[in-house]
Amino acid sequence: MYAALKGLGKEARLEMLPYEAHGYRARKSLLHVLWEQEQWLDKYLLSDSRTEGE
Amino acid sequence: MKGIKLLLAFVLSVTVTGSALAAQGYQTPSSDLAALVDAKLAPSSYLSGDGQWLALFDRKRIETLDDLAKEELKLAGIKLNPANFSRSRPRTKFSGLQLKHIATGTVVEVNNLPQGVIRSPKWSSNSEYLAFIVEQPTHANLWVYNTQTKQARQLSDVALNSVLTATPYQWLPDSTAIVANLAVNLGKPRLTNDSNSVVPVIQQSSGQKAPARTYQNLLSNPFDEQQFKFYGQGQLSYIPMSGVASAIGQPALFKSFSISPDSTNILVASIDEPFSYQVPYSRFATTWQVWGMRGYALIELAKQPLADNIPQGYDSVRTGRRDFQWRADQGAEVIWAQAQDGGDMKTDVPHHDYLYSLRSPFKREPKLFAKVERRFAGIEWANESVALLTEWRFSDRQLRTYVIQPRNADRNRVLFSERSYNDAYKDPGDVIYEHNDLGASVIKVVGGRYIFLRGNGASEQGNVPFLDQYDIKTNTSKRLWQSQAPYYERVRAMLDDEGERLITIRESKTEQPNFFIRDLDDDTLTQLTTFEHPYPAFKGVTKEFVRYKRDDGVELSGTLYLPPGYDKTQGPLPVLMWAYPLEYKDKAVASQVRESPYEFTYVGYWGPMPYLAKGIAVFDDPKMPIVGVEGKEPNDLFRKQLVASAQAAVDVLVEKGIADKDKIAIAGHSYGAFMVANLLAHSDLFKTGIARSGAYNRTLTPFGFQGEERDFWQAQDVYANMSPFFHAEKINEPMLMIHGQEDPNSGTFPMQSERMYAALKGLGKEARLVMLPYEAHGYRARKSLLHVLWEQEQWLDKYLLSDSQTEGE
Repeated sequence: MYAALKGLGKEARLEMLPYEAHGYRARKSLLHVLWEQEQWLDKYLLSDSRTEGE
Repeated sequence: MKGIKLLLAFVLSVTVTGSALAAQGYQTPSSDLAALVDAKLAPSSYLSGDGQWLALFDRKRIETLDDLAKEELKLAGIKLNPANFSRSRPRTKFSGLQLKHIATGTVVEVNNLPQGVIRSPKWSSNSEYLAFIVEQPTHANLWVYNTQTKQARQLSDVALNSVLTATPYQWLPDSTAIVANLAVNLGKPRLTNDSNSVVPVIQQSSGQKAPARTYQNLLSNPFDEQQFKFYGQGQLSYIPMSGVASAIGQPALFKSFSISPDSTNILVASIDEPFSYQVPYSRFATTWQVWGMRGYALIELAKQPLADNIPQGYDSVRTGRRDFQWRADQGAEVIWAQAQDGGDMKTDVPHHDYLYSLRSPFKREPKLFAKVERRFAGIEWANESVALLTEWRFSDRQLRTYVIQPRNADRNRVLFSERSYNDAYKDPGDVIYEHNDLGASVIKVVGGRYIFLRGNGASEQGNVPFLDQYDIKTNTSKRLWQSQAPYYERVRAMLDDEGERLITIRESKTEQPNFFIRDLDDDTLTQLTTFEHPYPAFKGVTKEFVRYKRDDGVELSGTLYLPPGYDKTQGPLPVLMWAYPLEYKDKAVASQVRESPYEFTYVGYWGPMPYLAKGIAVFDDPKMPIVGVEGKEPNDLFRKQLVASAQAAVDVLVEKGIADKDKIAIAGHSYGAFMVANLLAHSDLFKTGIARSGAYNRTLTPFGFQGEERDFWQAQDVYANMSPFFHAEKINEPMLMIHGQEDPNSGTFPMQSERMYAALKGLGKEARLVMLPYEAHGYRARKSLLHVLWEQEQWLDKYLLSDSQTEGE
């Protein structure tokens, strides 16, 4: 899916977590996931900058 | 209805387990087929410069499973074997060596080589020594064969490093020594990856449509960088024939090195940090220098930055100095190119490249050597009066070569050749070289005016190899010799200055390639080697080029092979067709003929040929052209044209009385496998199919594939129509699928075959899936190849040759 979005020129980010299965269990992974989500929402939900629409 | 389907599926699975196909482990086919895998083909030849010795190396075509299972590291675009600091897949590998003295016919067998892979042979310029590398599991070393003593010995026990410098050694032109790149870190403990270097793998795209080239196996984290430095670190070493090596300068990440014709200087390229995660090592920042033989840097020619922003376009280049090389006809003069167009051919300038020169001792300013109108493609050196300068352009694929006078390279140029580089018919051939007094390799010029070219002679009649003499003074060519039917003979080397005594390789449809001396003056032909027929069981196979038409008028052709001893009175035969569809926009671009009808019939283990031994006729490469007409894209009519092509192929064989229409099998590899599944789904022409390393679901290749440029979202119905996965329920004939478990080809991931098989199985179809451990897109291990031949043989025995009915739906 990421390859499709990238090829089509969409805004996307893909995060693959080493060793994790369907639910994430390691402390480092969980902290990192919270950080990713926080960064993303800061950028796309909370800031006043516009994204480049299609 | 479902109940009956389930019952049939159960019955089929029981039937299969009762047969040979239930055997476990790697199998071997019948002996005539197995012999093809081990067949000994004509060796590779390396002629000494003085024309006296022919070194013959047995080609090692196949691997063992252990070879494939060996650990392989992938760093910065390189695949390497960390155990011996070599590239893991060298192009050519040899397993044995013999030398033939041409004048007397004496053969010297070299029997004292250790177990390992031989590669990269090079004669010394004075023809006294033949050096080569022997690669063993834990190290690669240099060996030298001495023509005086007729003995081969290990030159030195220093271990070579081929990680960055794929060919890690070079002779001094004066034949006194070899300079080699050594594996500095061989024998040291492996680097370990501590848990601090395990990191999430992140990719981000920001709204710029479509990608630049996707490179594979790039560096992707700090541990990769450490490994790259560890394996790439080299040390140049001077090794005279005594074998006592001495270091040249300091260790570095050597990317290349080249010795000046006068044997006194080395042109050295070494990679600098920081490395990149976006491009392979060939584009990393590189420093170019000239060193003296003791390793002292005489001059820094350039510090090339990382090349990650070269403009799009095949003929785009970096700005700044590039393409460094020694002039072959001078003692120590460096030549390089500099783009005048910002590296982009689209810029409108009178000259796209300038060439500069700088001569030893490298203290003066560089001189402008030549102005090149288009993109510099290379220069071949003869002497101060003669060189061949080539330029090219991608937009029209044009290649132009001029005869120039190096003394004054911009004046009095003579146009030697101008053609599209795709035009095989106008290829003037390759220039013949010799060694000059310094031992450097230069264009052979006779009488100050004649140069010689040997070429394939591609033409409407097929390849007819030739030897030409070109007169620089009159800009005219004379054909000295050309191959005569029914033989296919090509020039390997000239033994004199007149082009009258030649070494050739000669073959015919029934005689395998051998080496000959041809004397045009005496009109004699002396056989030099007598290699045995590589597969005697296939002697007597006949070959016929068949032309026919499709229902829409498109002209097709294929090559029909008949088993030894067959004649029409025996009635029709079962047939195996092997094909690969191609798309084009223009019916007239039916390929230029690029083979010779007189070539020795090659029976490879790869395609359909082995099954001739079973009394099956083979129809090889029946064309399946998918043509775009009336403004449509080719694939809009894919299924219709594919089936029509297959129908025409079946019809012509039936008309000729060769084929029984109920006993024809279809097979293919990669896009050919995709074709097989489509033909089984959308026609009833074939009794069974074999599909190897294919793709069946085109949504997994959504950004275009083969000749299809539209993406999945632009042409969803085309992708769906063409994907046999979407039509698996229509496949009514048994299909065998084979796939390498490590197939990295982005169009044919193993998942393609696994999912297709799961679909067929779930739908109650007859199918078999074989996944080959360690194999990629082409299969390389002997055991794998034998097993594939066995699988196909069993399958054809059961579904093509026997009279049993399959349980259809």
